[in-house]
Amino acid sequence: MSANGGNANGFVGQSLRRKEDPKPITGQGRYVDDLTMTGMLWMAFVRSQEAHANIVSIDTSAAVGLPGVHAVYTNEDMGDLAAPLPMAWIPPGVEVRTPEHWPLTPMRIWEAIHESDGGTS
Amino acid sequence: MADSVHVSVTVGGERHHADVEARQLLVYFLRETLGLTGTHVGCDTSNCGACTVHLNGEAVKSCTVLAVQADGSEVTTIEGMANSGTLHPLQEAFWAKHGLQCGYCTPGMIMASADLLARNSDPSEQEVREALAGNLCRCTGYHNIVKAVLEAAKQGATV
Repeated sequence: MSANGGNANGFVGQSLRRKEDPKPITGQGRYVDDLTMTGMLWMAFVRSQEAHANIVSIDTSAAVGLPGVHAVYTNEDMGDLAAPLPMAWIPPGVEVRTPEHWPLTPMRIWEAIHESDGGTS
Repeated sequence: MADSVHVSVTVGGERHHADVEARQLLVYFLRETLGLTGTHVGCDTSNCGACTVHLNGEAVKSCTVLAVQADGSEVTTIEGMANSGTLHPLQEAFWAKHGLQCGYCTPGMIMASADLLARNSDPSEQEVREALAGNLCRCTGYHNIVKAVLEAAKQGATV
């Protein structure tokens, strides 16, 4: 680096082409969805068929019984993950309110919130 | 497979035969059956355009086309745009004009742009923006993408 604004490398002021671009512009990029690994399983999310509803219960037995299905998870199976996703780092002195984002729908919590709302309204 | 259907599709000049599920989408035929992962699935609902390919010379969103609909057709994907190592003018222009960051939308952008330039070799900026209205980018923004398409048009990219 030069203190007098020298341009020893000839790069200053030049528009440089990115080294990583040839792969994505030719379709040779490798994204997570492009990876195939030995023994890899596929996952499908089940979305609610109701726009606004309380979950009373989830019966996974039929799904578990399907051929090729290795596992079915609900929020109850999430263990330590069954909590709002934390914010990695909050700048000191800054009050940040992070909305709750659950890995999977927390039916019990949802129920509790519903009951609480009902009790205070 | 109970509902398998035999299809024959020419992709990038090469003829492929396969038995596919009747419900299989063209994008999954390309990605999973043929292993051409350059065509991406962004939304699965025809909003984002990441899956855009050419079907008999016309840009289509391959998540909205069934593989069986492409039977007997010619498909061009992003993998078929470079000609034996020489980049297509659109690929050159996207590179030169910084028309990408993560690159996920880029194959669809390039295929949709190629369709535009085949119909209109000298588009205005507004025409480029309208032609790419069905292709979403979430990192670069559209400014450099539009500049890239206009640059490619200037270089005579009509194929």
